Amino acid sequence: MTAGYNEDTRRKELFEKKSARVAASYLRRIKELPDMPKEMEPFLDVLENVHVHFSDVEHETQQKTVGTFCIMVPNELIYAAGGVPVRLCSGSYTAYAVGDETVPRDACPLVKAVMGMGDIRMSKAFENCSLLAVPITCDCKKKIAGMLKRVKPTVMLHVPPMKGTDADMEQYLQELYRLVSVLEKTTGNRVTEQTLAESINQIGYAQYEMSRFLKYRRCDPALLHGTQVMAVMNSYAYMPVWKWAAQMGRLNAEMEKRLSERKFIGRDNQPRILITGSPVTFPNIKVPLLIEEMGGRLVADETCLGERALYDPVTVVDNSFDGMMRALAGRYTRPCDCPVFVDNKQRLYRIRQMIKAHKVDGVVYHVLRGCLVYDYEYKIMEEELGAMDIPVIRVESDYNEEDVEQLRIRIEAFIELIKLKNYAKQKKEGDRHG
Amino acid sequence: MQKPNVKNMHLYVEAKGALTTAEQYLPAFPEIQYFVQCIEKYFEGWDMEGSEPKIFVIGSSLPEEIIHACKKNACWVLGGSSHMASLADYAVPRDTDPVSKSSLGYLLGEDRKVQTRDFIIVPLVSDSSRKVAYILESAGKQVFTVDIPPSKDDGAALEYCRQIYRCIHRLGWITRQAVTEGRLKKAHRDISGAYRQLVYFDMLADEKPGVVSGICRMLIFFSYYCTDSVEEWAKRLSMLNGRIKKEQKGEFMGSKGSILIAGSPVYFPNYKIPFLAQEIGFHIAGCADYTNLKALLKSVPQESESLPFRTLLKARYQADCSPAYPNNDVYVRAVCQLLSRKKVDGVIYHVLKGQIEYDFELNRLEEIFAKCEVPFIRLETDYNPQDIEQLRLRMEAFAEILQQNRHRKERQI
Repeated sequence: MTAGYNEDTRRKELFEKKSARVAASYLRRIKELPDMPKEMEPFLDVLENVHVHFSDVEHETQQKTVGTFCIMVPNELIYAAGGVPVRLCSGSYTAYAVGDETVPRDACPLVKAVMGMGDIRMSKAFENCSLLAVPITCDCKKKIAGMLKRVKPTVMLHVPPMKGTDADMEQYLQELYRLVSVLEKTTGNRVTEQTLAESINQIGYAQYEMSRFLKYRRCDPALLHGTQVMAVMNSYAYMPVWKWAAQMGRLNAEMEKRLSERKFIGRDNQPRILITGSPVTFPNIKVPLLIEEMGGRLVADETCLGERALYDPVTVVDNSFDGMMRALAGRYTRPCDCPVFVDNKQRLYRIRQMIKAHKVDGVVYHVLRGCLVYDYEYKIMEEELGAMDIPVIRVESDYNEEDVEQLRIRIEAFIELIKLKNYAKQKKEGDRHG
Repeated sequence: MQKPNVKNMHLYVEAKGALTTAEQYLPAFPEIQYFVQCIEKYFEGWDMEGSEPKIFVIGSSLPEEIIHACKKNACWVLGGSSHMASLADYAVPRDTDPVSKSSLGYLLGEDRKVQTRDFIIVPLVSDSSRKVAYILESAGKQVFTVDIPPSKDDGAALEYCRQIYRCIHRLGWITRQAVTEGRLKKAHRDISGAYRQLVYFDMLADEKPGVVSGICRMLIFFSYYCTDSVEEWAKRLSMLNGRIKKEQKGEFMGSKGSILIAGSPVYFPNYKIPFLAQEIGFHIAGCADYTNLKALLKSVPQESESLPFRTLLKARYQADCSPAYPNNDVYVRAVCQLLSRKKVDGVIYHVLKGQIEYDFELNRLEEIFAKCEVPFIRLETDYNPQDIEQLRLRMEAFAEILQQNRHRKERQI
């Protein structure tokens, strides 16, 4: 018995050390990118607390934490019930290696990491969750919902695969009402009209600050490193919204100052890259880092842990409780361009819009091995971007560091290609103007 | 081989080849010919000319009653053809499962000429089904999706019924038929009758493994989705059952032991695994894939036929054994039930590349197999013939294990 206990403890310690080392090394690399805004540090500290020191997320003692997955779970409802949401989509390489033993080989790494996190029990953010809210989005999430239910109280949310009709939204509304009753039971607090309105406003404020922040991200030449921006966006998963929004406000003030002083971080001829596809979850931030290390400028992301999560605000037109619930059901399905929906032309429009707004030169299409839904949309995306004369590269990756050098070569070649293309374009324009 | 009415010669040749191989494992009863002809006719293809819209259904999760109640025949697109899978290779990602690829190839193939007026029903059970629906829609086909809620609770059952009734209304509109409760219940009676015959056939096959081989059993199950008339099919199966009942037990052919094939669906003509198992000397005591389990579980007692169709629908949804649900207790229970009933020596767990749901279920099943002391082997494959020799080697090794187990048990006795 003691031998078994010791073996388990030793194993856990080993995993903790390894996991902390990887997270710390990525944090260091993010911090080492030149000219990091000072106000960005608190966001990185949160990532350090959760991923290096394995601390729980910040919450009051009596508050319950609710683990969420994907972006279809309205955090507004959790805050309104007096809980604190924690986004549990994991990017841990160590947890992924552990999860590999419990889920099939071809499952996506994110899901493996989630299951691994449950197995090694090293993350307090995961362990202390009183409830898990799992939207049934893709096949892997569906299956882990069943597995997680055996170890923790879990509520599954059926996300309608179509979002065009009122009936689809009505169905999701019923799911949200069900979620409210489960949350009330878990936290012991009632979700009232007032608490719901307050939480919608709180998240609305965070979205407002984020939209201001995106303005600085769009700057040409760049004011910020995209990788650092993605780390900031990742920290939203582990911070109370009011705190995140307040810190974001301070960061925006610093960015405003930098803009007025024209303190740009790069040259204006660096290829401007957009990353889209499977989620980029800390510490698996290797692709954004590689893009920037190879001379690209990551100016936009269309991922669910990035801009997509906070882009669209909740539009309340009827202030009654049901009106707000309807606004939430609408917000979390209709503008969502996650590829789990049958018809996802919206994602094409959104990317087109982003390419224009962020002056994007090339797109990196990130596919996590086993993430089939994103892979399905690559073909359409490739055709669309081809028609726009925007180069695109499909980068398939996993949660380990073995493919880094291979990725580096491909990304470097892609960036060189864009540079040549831009050079040829400039030359042509120069010739035309004599 | 040249048949004037064949719509896709490659598909027909593939199916005919498999059918010829299968025929050596079929009993020489004249009653069996009807089922072989049904399958052959299915692979000859439909006459796509004419003004009537055709109905295509992807997979087997849609209740057949709703098609039957429209007095129409539907083409059940189950996948299974490697040729059709290769046709869709360009349109889907590399890791897509062969069943989805094959279904898509079947509906997108130039020779099939599915027209804009034709109606394709896609039950949304997986990531691939959602994306296949979109690809078909983008190709200008008329697609109707049926959302299958994952949680099976009462709210989900209501939503499921709503989805099915939506489909019924649309079908009624397309076929210009009023789909009444009476028609639905009549369809339910017919289909339940057919399933009862199928269950009886399965029982007879268990009793007389020397007469009915595993391949024969699987072909009869598959032919259900190829028939034009369920009533006729049930009548013919009843005749076949009568014939089997009269037969002597015969010599048991499974010298290497009796096995159950579980996991991903084994759709004709992709009978790679059953053919190999039979060649090696296994007796296939049953196939616990979704389509077969559904048939075995769906058989309802005659008394329930008087219930409203909605109630039947709800009950069936909650007892559905597809692995496309997060909590798959029904599937696991169904496999256990077959394990104890069929007294098999081993299980071949068949996983088609990309069908991740089946792989997820394996962990739970593994514990059950271990508890029942039934050895199992996981075989991952797709529709390509390249891995046959590798599979053969693994299955032969598995046969050795089963034989050693048997000897050990005999020595203990």
